[in-house]
Amino acid sequence: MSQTVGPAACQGDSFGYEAPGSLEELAAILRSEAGGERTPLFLAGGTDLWVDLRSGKKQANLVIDLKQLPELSGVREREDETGLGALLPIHSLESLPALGREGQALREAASALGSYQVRNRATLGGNLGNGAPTADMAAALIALDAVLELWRPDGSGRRVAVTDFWRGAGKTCLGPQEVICRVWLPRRVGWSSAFLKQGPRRAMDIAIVNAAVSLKTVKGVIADARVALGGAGATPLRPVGAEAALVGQKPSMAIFRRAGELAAEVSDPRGSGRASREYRLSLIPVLTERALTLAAERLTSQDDKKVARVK
Amino acid sequence: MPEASLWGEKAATKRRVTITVNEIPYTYTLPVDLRLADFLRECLNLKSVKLGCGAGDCGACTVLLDGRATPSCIVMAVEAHGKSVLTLEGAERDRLIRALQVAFIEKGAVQCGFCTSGMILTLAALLRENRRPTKEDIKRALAGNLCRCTGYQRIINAALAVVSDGL
Repeated sequence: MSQTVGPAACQGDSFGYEAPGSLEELAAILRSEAGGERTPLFLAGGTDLWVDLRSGKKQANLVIDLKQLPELSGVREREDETGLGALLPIHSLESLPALGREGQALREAASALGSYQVRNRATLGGNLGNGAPTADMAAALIALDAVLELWRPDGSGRRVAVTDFWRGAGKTCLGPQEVICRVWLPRRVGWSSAFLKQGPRRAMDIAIVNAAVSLKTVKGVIADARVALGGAGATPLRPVGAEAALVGQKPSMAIFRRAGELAAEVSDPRGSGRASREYRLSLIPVLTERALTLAAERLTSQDDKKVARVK
Repeated sequence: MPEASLWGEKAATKRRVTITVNEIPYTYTLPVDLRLADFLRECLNLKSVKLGCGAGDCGACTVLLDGRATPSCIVMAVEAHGKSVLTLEGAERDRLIRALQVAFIEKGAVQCGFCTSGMILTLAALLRENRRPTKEDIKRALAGNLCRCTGYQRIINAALAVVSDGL
């Protein structure tokens, strides 16, 4: 069956769609568009892009669909790091064994994003590329020391620490023709992590504030820590003062509360329709403290299991 | 005839696509900005696919795209090229979906019916991933399927009935 739908007169077409099958093809498309009249936008899952194009929040006359690119797909394992393809659907991250015990924060962040249907469609790379300061993946990836592998049409790839990715409200370090290929997570044996999110509703909503943390203890003392916050400023935030306060201490309610206070001190959230600045400022220490407590509980249960195995 | 273009005066280019819908392959030349939901409803006359919010929030347009519960209002038909789509019309021979339909009727889970197709396909996708979901798993999977009649309890009961029948 073959049939044409829509207006017959399609001369002077001005909205285009391309779906390259390889990075070489993508480079060729970008070269041919360079200096042209069309402004391309990259498409991954489309859960935000199509909605924004329809509502007029974004404009484009060429959409380049990245979903056919094998270079952005699947999971790659190396000795010291795991590479998550930018096209991995968020839903697949919810139960991804490759994340290991230390990657629990990313699993939890994936579970907290949107609805089941949206998680099936939305991608890891898309959630980052949007540049939203409340992106659920963002805080989790900061807490896990992630590094982003980027691609440019001239073939000059680069690796960027996830903390250097955001450059202001809705802005990232991505050049107009640059694409996120893969998110690399270092192996962090002995670490634990946790992610917590507070949104206006319990499901299906964008975070007011989210917090992700990771901890490593040696002989019962915190040897290293990461704290990351979304919704606490124009970009996802890493309050290093809070981390420093934790190192060298034994895990305790008091020190986690202190870290939460220090995280709030460097936060500069805005008020929005979703929540006021004041509410965000009061949430930040609470979520930070709770996430640290959760991560510490997980460390303990890991140690317990080790002890059990030794016995 | 579906909406010509989402971008006002701008015409969209067209692409030839082949999409397998309910096990039948269809080849069409479609505007690249035609939503999968519009293609299914207007070109193929599959009206079980409901268009609610048009923004991926309400779940009424949920179809199974390569087996995954997917909001067909935020997927363009061209993105489904080479893929297979299942709507409720194609589910007659699917034992799990039939069981869900029967349970919805028996448990009184259908009120106005607008959300029903999306609910059933979402539950079918969940049950294929997880044969024994808890009540909490079911509620989480249905978070993106809005029922404006607010008949959630009976919908959840229908799902639980299918789970306990062990299909």
